[in-house]
Amino acid sequence: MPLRIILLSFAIFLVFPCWAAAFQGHVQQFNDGAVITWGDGNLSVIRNMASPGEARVVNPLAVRKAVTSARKQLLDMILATRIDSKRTVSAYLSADRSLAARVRGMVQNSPMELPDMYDAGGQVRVYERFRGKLAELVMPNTLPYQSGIPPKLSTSMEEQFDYNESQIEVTNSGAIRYTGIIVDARNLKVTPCLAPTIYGQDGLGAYGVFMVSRGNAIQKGVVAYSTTSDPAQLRSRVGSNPLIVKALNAYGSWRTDLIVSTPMAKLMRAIMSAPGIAGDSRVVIVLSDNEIASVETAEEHSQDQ
Amino acid sequence: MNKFKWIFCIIILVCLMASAALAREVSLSLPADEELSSMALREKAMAKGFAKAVVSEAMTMLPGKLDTKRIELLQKYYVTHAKPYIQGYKILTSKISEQGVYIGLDVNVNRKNLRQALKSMGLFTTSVSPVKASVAYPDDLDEQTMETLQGLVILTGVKPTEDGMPVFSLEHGPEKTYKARLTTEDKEWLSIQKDLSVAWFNVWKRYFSHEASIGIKVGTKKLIVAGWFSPDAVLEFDRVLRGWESAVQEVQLVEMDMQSSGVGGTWDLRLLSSEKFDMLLKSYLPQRGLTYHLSEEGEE
Repeated sequence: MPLRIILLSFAIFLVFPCWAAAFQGHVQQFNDGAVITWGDGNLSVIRNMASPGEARVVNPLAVRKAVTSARKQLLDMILATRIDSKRTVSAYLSADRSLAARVRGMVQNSPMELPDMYDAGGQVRVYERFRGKLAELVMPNTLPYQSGIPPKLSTSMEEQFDYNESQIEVTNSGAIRYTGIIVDARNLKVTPCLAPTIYGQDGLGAYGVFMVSRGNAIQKGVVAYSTTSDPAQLRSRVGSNPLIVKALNAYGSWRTDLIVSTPMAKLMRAIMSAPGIAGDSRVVIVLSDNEIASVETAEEHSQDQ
Repeated sequence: MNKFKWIFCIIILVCLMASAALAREVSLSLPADEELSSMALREKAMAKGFAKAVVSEAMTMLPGKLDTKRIELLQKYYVTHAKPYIQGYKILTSKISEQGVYIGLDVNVNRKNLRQALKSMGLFTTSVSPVKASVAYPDDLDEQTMETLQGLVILTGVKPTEDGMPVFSLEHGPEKTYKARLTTEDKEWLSIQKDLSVAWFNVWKRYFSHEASIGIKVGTKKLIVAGWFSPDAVLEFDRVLRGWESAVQEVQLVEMDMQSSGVGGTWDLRLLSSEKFDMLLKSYLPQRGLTYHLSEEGEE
């Protein structure tokens, strides 16, 4: 391999370690080519510039119009994103005007890619990421990060699903060999969110923010969403030997949380107790490729409040 | 040739890793002291190491340069006063032998607190030009106290004059305390403390925050950024700019220019590291379609 490729790879890995390891994951499509990639938390919006007519050189006003419109959609996408089963980003920010202004400011400062000077009919792309600074603003401080106290559903789900995995024996020594968890939630019409909770059928939380520090939730995301359950492709997130768990159903009015069988939930808790697993948020939720994710505007979401 | 390539590769990796480290590395050795145990000597070396780290951080912040004597006095002061500014540290090397102690430390200094402290001590003002003041003290001051007072006068950058304002006067207080009084034309501050340096800085802190620090603009630059489409974006960049505190400080948004063609902002700031600031600006602004111009204060 040529030396410059080795050098470039090392440099990229050192300077952007999390980007180098990131995978795109589940792609949530919006109108006009806007997407959220739920594996790495990237949001991007592409806008075509107005028809150039005879002009060849890019018109600054056309750029401004396209960028402004793209950023407006980017902000709408952020606001419409669900934090958890209870609220959207929009609902959370409505209680704090200065925080909302900061998010607006960040979006107005989002990086962009412009067309070449002589590509008057080209495209602009603006992008942000649900990690780092933006996640710091939109992830509420009040979530019970790393509290170690699992949330409990008001009703047990034991009788609702006819699923029996009672033969699984949960031992800590057995759980230690797993390096992460892949939760298969295909065909359950799950809505991706920033802080989902996975419950056992017994109604007790098996994984969620109560196991993850705020720092890790911000830098890595509580979970990553993917459309493949192939462990080889998810290795960067869940390690070389993940446990694959079948989700029984989605839970909550927006179907953001998941239910797994009680024995699997116990095994998940045991795996999560191993050092570095919950800390690195080594959990991937697999969604169907053709699942149509719900797309709403921020205005519609504000009715949730 | 291949060997050369790998050496080159390793050098680049080491450089990249070194540039990521932000803490300050210091090392120092102390000769053996018969009156001190090896542990006590090690602790003394660590205290001196912290002082050295704090002072070398302070040197990057001050607008003017301190002479050797003042640096020496500042280090001596921080041997006992560095604790509030140490965020964390790692011991890199620690060797105790019959000859003495050698210690290497990687110290994380709380720059925000340190900057505030240096301002209170007046060093932001007097590193540029000394402050003239009359200094009065009782005749029966013992030699050690006299030496401490002279050290404080030099460290603070006070140029003693026969008369005129402000007037610093030191008296003996009750129960072996020192009564420090600083009088200006319209104000008077008083502090009674057992530690002379605490009493001294208590009154001068008030003075510098009240008067002397006003109008010091050495090293101030003007940053003009243009190309935003919304005032929210300017305010967000203002926050980003304030976060680059290892490169700039005293950041102040002085003007927001709202034109039909776009929104711009002008900041006054003081550069700590022009290279670092240039790198930060270049990594942030162009990819957001923004342009900038950095000039001396007052330059068009």
